[in-house]
Amino acid sequence: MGTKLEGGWTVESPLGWSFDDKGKPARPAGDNGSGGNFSVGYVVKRGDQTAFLKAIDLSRAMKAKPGDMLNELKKIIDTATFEQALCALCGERRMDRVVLALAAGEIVVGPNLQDRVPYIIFELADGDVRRRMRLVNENVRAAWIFSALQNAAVGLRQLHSAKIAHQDVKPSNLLQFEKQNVFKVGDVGRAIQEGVAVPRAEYGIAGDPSYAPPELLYGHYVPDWNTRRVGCDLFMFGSLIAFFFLGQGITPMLMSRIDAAHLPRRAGGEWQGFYADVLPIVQRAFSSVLEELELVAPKKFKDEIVASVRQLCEPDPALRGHPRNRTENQFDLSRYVSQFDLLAKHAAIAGRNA
Amino acid sequence: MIPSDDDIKRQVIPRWRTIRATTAARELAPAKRQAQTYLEDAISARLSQELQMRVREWRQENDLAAAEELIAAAVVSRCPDFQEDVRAAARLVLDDPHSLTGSRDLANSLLGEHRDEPDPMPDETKKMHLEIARRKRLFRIYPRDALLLTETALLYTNLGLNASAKNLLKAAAALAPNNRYVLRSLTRFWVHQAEPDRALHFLSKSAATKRDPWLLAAQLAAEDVAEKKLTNWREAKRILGAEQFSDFELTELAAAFATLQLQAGSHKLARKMFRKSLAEPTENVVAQAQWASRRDPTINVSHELTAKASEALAWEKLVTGRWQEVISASRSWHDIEPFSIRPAVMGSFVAVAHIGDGIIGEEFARRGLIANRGSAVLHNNLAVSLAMQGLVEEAKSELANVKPSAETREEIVNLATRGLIEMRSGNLEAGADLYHKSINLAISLRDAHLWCRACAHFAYECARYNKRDLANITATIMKVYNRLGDQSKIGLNDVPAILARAEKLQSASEILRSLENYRSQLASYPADELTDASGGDKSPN
Repeated sequence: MGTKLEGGWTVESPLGWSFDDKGKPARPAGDNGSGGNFSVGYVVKRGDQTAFLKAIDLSRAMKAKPGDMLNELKKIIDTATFEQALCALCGERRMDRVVLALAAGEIVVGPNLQDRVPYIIFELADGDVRRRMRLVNENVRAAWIFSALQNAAVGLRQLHSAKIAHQDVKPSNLLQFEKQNVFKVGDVGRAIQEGVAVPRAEYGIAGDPSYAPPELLYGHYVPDWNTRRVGCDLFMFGSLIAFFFLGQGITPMLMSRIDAAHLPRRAGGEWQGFYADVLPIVQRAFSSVLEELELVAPKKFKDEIVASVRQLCEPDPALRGHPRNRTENQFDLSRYVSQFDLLAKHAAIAGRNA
Repeated sequence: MIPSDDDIKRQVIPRWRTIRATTAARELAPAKRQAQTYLEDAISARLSQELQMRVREWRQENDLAAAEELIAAAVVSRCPDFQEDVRAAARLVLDDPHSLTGSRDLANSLLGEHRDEPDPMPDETKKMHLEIARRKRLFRIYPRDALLLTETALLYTNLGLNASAKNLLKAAAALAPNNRYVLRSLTRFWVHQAEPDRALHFLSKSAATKRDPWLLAAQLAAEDVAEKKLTNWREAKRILGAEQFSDFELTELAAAFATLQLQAGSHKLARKMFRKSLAEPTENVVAQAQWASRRDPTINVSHELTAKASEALAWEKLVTGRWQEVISASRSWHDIEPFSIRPAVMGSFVAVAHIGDGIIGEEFARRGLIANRGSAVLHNNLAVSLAMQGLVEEAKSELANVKPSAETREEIVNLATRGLIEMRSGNLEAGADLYHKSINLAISLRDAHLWCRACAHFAYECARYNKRDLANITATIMKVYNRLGDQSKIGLNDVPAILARAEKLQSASEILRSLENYRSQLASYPADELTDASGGDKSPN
């Protein structure tokens, strides 16, 4: 703590998301603040400005299995380099709904490899929607949710326009910036750019598997990049919508409704066949989740909510996306941007009149 | 009357049950297996890595958000580790008033509490309609659910709304043309509709049929019913000979193959294939083998197998003369396939003919008529059941639904039932006349079976009044019955049962005889008591 960095930044404390009753970060919370595998999060300050520092922990490579150290180190370096490049690209393209990198550099505290810490400094959010949602007054909650979703859709559209698929869209990665009055998509650490090879691209699932689309859990490989990667983002975005009303994403809701005989082998199930053969079973479970969503969604907006989740989380990746986009860009989020913008306005009016 | 077992060309037409029941019966396992891929190891590693991170967060934060993340990771990974953390997180979710319904569902499932799901296949008509309404709402939300469309078609079929079922099945086949549940269900539906060629259209169009033994079995069976040339005979033979599939996966294909061999007269090969099919059979295969064993007694089906197969059990008990057990097995059989006419016919027939219980007969006939409106045999059995309960007017109106062609077996049955109704109405002569017409028609059509049956019923009705000639009539009927072959006797074992019941009856004349002592010994009223104060006689009127 107290380390001075280039650009006048000072490291303050480790980062976590614990909140007081006003929803402000209340205490630092250990090393999982950033959620990354090779990184540690810290709060850094420069004058009045507070930011989030993501420090790449190269020493994690030392914990690799014997004989695997070099591979692990390469993976960490490639991932960190890729993230830095990606952040730079997001900055260049002025992606205002994606958490931007303010600076990047390297701390050197000794002669050994583990004494060198590459880092990226990001804007510090007030918190993620997962915890902040419950702090929002009931009357304005719907407007708050739709606004968050509209901002998330804009952020994802910005990434997609640069051929970047986020791959880890989930409630903890949608961050609120109260002063700016916006929500931004954070943690591009698991993103994938078309045509750029990164170590985790070999994984079917790049992001959090608890939010992954079912085809990835079943090990189904779709050759088309857009369908595989952008389609995954769409599913996760739909799952985010469901989260606000069900408290859970679509993936665990689906898995809990599927009999063990039809669950993926590597997720404790027995299914050894192809995804195409199990798809009707997954669609059956999906229909049941939608039924539940329809029951709990606010009456005034339930048609739009259920329709959006249905289109975005369709278990068949080939059919995902807005039906009116099928002839053009099936995975374009523009229609959802407009829709949630409108819903946010309607909900705000309804909230004022309540 | 029950259709004779000999008339039914039974094939291994797939059972059509709910998705849940079909899954539980292990009939939806994949036919084509995917080799283990490196992707699966990566998935496995990611799942366990993520679960560990969620556990770490949960231990640190110990709040609702961390609990929700942990239970989601636990549900997706199904990893048995960190059970204590997972259960604690699930409890926190359930205790927190701010937790939402999806999280509460997951928490409940992790703690072993099951979600209240509506019964997918209620048996009450009103509940069936309510369930259909719920599903219609679901189709508006998500119209791509081919399995739900298929299961809803089953609900419609159970209600006899076949046109609606047909539309849903067509939609399901368009959405999932290779799905086993959809294809097997529509095969059963079209065979039920007596249009097996329509099922064959979908089966032959599907790319899955050739590689899936469950679908091949359905195709062979439907082709046999449709009397069409067998298209995938060689493929079926190859799959049966290969070691690609388990005994269970091949059971229906082996039984379908065996049935064809039996019909072709290749008893040796049929026996071999039935043996193979019985290694790990479905309930349907046991019923098939049991049916075959009635044609070729060398095909052996143990009671251990039939005990768990209601259709087979019903037939086994019918052959061995255990009528009450036939009734209970027929009830289970009806529960498996509520739309099928066969358990309803068997249950109602055994109830009225073998047991003489009009109430049970009525129950079966009415349940069968829900899905088989206009069925002559069920209307007839219902009329008989009602007449036996003394509800002759209702019986007459039920029988009015049956319009038999002249000079047919159906007319023999119809005349006998009309005779029964007349006799139960007290019109003995008219009833006897109808019975005689029925019996004479059986003679002119040279139908010994129906002659025996009509005579036995007439004898029973006469015995209700007087049993003087019963022994002679029984002897006459049994003389004809005994000349029949063994198979025929099994199908006609209601005849001795009816005659035995008649023998046990207390006839009206016996009742009158038992009252004779009372009638002759009626004490006369003392004459002196009849004089009143005015001295005049009192008339009893």
